[in-house]
This record gives sequence, structure tokens and C-alpha cells, in this order.
Amino acid sequence: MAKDKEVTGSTAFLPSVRSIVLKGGSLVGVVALSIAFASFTPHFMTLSNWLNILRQVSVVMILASAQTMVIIAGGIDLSVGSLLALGGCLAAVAMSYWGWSFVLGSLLGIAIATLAGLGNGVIIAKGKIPDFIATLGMLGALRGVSLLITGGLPVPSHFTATKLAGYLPQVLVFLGSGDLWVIPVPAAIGVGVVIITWFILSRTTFGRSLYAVGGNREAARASGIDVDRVKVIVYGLAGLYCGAGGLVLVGRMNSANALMAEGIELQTIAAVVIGGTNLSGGRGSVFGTLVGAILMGVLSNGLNLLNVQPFWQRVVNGLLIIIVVLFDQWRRRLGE
Amino acid sequence: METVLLTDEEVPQPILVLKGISKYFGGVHALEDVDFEVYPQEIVALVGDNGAGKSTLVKIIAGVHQPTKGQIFFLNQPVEIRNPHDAQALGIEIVYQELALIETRDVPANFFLGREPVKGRWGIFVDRKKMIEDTVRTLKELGIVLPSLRTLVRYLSGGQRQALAIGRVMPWGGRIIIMDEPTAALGVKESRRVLDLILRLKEKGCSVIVISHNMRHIFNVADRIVVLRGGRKVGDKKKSETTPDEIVKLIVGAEML
Repeated sequence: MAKDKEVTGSTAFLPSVRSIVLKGGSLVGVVALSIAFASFTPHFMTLSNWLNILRQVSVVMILASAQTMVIIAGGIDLSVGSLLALGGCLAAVAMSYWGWSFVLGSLLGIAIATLAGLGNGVIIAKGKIPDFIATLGMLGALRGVSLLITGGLPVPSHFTATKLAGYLPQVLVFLGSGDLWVIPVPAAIGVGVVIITWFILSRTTFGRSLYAVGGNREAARASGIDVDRVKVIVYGLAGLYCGAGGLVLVGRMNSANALMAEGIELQTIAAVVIGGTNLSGGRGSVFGTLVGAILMGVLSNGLNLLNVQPFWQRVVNGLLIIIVVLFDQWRRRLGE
Repeated sequence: METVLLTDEEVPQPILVLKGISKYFGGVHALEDVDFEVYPQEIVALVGDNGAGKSTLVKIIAGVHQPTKGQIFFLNQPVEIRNPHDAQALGIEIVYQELALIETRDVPANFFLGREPVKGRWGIFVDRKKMIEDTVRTLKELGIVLPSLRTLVRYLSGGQRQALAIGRVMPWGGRIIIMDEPTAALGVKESRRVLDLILRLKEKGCSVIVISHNMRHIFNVADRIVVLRGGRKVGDKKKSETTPDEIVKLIVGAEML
């Protein structure tokens, strides 16, 4: 935007270390961590390990993209993991027990997750219930529904071999664990979802209304934005993303179970926050979330390679969130 | 005498006429039989004590309230303004006192809040180039100076925010712009800028209805001053034919002294 040139008063030609740290944010964290891990173990800085990291964070990427939109709109969705399980389980049941094709089964799974997401939105908008409470309720309820659908067993399961119509379709497995040339398919899907989300957020009127609703509800209303409608749609869209994420995860595990991706909601929120999105709404970007997800992936991958005890990994992961947000606060204060 | 000198075309016709407007909220008579006109390129100051009915009157014009009795004419046609959308369709825009801006968004985003220009077949894709160009053009036309278009509204001063809130009603072909206490929260210098902005809107062909308590500001910009007291119109004076003293007396109801 050339028009801005005259008013932005940056005179330095070479960016200082400080400005790199200030502007780069979590990306600097990824680079620093990578350098550290690479210097400790030769296995870290390899193509196959990086592809592995991307594969591992792909589902978080998809769900965290949905979470980014919801949080920008001033909400929070604690039910993303349960939505994923619901969609994934129902799709898997349809494909392996009811003999549905990949396409029909996938559509069913995505549709049911979308409907449940819309349900979140309606409860929040029409019932005037805080987002946190409504989705906390759905977090529990939808897990229960998934357990009911699967009878608490993995899908497909050999305990029910007589009722089995077939194994999960190869296309589904390809979605979760296949490779395109060297690129893992789930990682490509995850990055694709991030790009679509970026497009929605920055280039559509709906995306702009998300920022408006999250930034100042009353002002959005006064400007003619239908706040309730925006909320219902964004939660429905989150449901759709979770349904898609469910398919990827089921494909990756070649199996569905009702308790899969438990606790992933906290990982998605962590990725969003690490990515610099404002938890109170109105501000943020999905590329930040992508970096946040990768940062968490790099950290756990590196710690694994260094043979750090999983117990310690939990401690480190928790502290990471706090450190990043502290850093972000400091960065913003300097920025102002 | 005027009718002799001027032909029909030269007699300025009011754009907006309110006739015999009453508004009752239950037993409360907020407005009682009020006549009110706005002429083209006119700045009307609406004054009165708290509870005199100023806000109720502008809310009726903006479609927020419906009158209990009375009629509204727009360009000589009887109209009903049932909601803010009807008002906007007539070119009536209101600048809210509490400044309906999004602090976490930049200038063009706020300028086009809720009515972003779209491109393409589906009508959902934002035309960002047009947003930026229109914002730059309107700000320039109105002489509004902001640090940078990318600045978040959070970092703008009170006066800059007020200017932005006023400026953004311009591109919508606003013929009548209503402002509720536009200088209430501003310092001397910033108030001056906002008053200049009101005058520039008039030059651009807009009419402005401004609610204010500040006599100096009113006498600076207004062409006509309408005084409400207890829901009734008690004064309707051209600025040239009145004084701040007289207006204050009308407001407090002590004109007999």
C-alpha cells in the first residue's frame, strides 16, 4: 500500500534484532527452538522429521483454524474435540457397518458435526448463554453421543465382526496417512484449511463481520450487522471444520473411537493464543495460529527426540503457553 | 414580501418536515405536538435541558422510535420511517454519541463497517482496493487528517475518532446527518476540528441536525436553533435573529425576565 508510505516513519534499512523479535513473534520462537534442537540431535533437522511434525499437527491446524474464527468473533469453542469425535465416529460407523460409500459417509459425518456446531451457535445467540458454558456442555454431551453411537468400541472392531460391512475405505486412509509425492496428505489438507480460513477472514464480508462482532458487539449491531446470525454461522462453520478434521484423524488412525482427540480443545486454544490472536476477540490472524500449532509440534517432537520424559513434556508445554503470552504482552507494550 | 420577490423555484423547500409530532412512552409525554423542518444545506442546532425531548426527536427521525401522533414528509412526500434502514434509504444518517467504532480494527474497516463494498459474482468478497480508495478520498474531501490508514482506532485520539465516525456517513449519500453531542468529550482544539467538519459537510450539500449544550459551538456553526422544553417546541430562531442569552432563557423557561 504505497499510500501509507508517507505516514509510516521507519527510517532503518536493516531491521534490528529487536524489531525482528518484535515483529516475528512466535515465528522467531519456532526458528530458535529448531536451532536449539538441531544442535542437540542430528535427527531433528531432516526432511522426514519435518514432514512428520506437519503430519502430527495437521488435525490441530484444522481445528485451531476454526477456533481462530470463533475467538476473533469474541467466542470460544470448547466442544471442537467432541464435534470431531462425533463426525468422525458417525462417518466411520456409516462406512464400516452400514456399507455407505466414502463420499456419503463423509458427507454424513461433516453434516452432523456442522449441525451440532450450528446448535452451539443457536444456544449461544438465542439462549443468551455465555459461549464458554454452552460449548462446555456440548463438550460433554457430544462425547456421550459418540460413545452411544460406537457402543464404546473402536470402529471397526473385531468384537462386532459379524455385523461389519467392510473396513474403512482406502480413500479415507489416504486422507489421513497418504503422501502426495513427499507431502503428507493430512498436512496438505491442514495448510489448505488455514489458507481458506485466511481468505474467509480477510477477504469476505462475513470475515470482516467476525472481527466487528468480536471487537465491539454494540457497534457491530449499530452498523447493521446481524450479530446473532454471525455467531450461529461461525459456530456452524467450526462444526464443519471439526467434521473434516474428524475424517482426517480417522483416516490417520485407520480407526475411529469416541474418545479420540480428547483435550484437543486446549491445544487449539493454545495454538490460537501463541499465534497472537486476542482472546477477548476482535483481533488476530490464522497464520499466527498456524505458527502456534507448529511451535507446539516442534517442541514436543524435539523433546521426544531428546528422550525427555513425557511427564516433563507436559510441564514444558504448559509453561510454553504462559511464556509466549507474557512475551506477547511485553511485545505489545513496546509496540505502543 | 418574500413571496413577491421569489418565484416558486427560488423559495427553498425543506427536505424534511415533521408535523405535529407527539411521542408518549406510557404516561410520559416525551414530545407534544412538535413541528420541525430541515432545509437543504442547513445546520440546525437542537437544544434543551435534559429530558426536553431532543434525543426522542432525533430518534424518531432516524427510525429508532415511531411517533405516537404526527406526520413526516420527505421532499414533500409523506413517509414512514419504521426502522434505521428506512432512514438510511432516505439518506438520513446518525452519528452515535457513544461512537459505534471497532477499536481493534483499522480505519477503512471502520469506515465501511457492516457495508463493505463487494466484488465478484457471489457478492461476498470484499473489494479492498475500493475500500481504501474511497476512504482516502472521503477523508481528503473532508480534510480529516489521520496518522495512517492502517492505524487501529484504539490508537486514535478522541477528535480523530469523532471525525472518523462523522466522515464514514458521507459515502452513503447522506443528505441529513444527525449528531448527538459531537463535541461533548473533546478538548478545545479537537472541538474546533469537528465544528469545521460540520461546516464542510454543509458545503458538500448535507444538512446537519446537531444536539449540543455548548452555546459557543452552536453559535459558531448553526444556521437555526430549535429549542425544546418539556417535550414542546418553545423556540425556533435564525442565528442572526437571536442571542445566546435569549436561547438560554428559552431553555430554562425564564424568557419573561
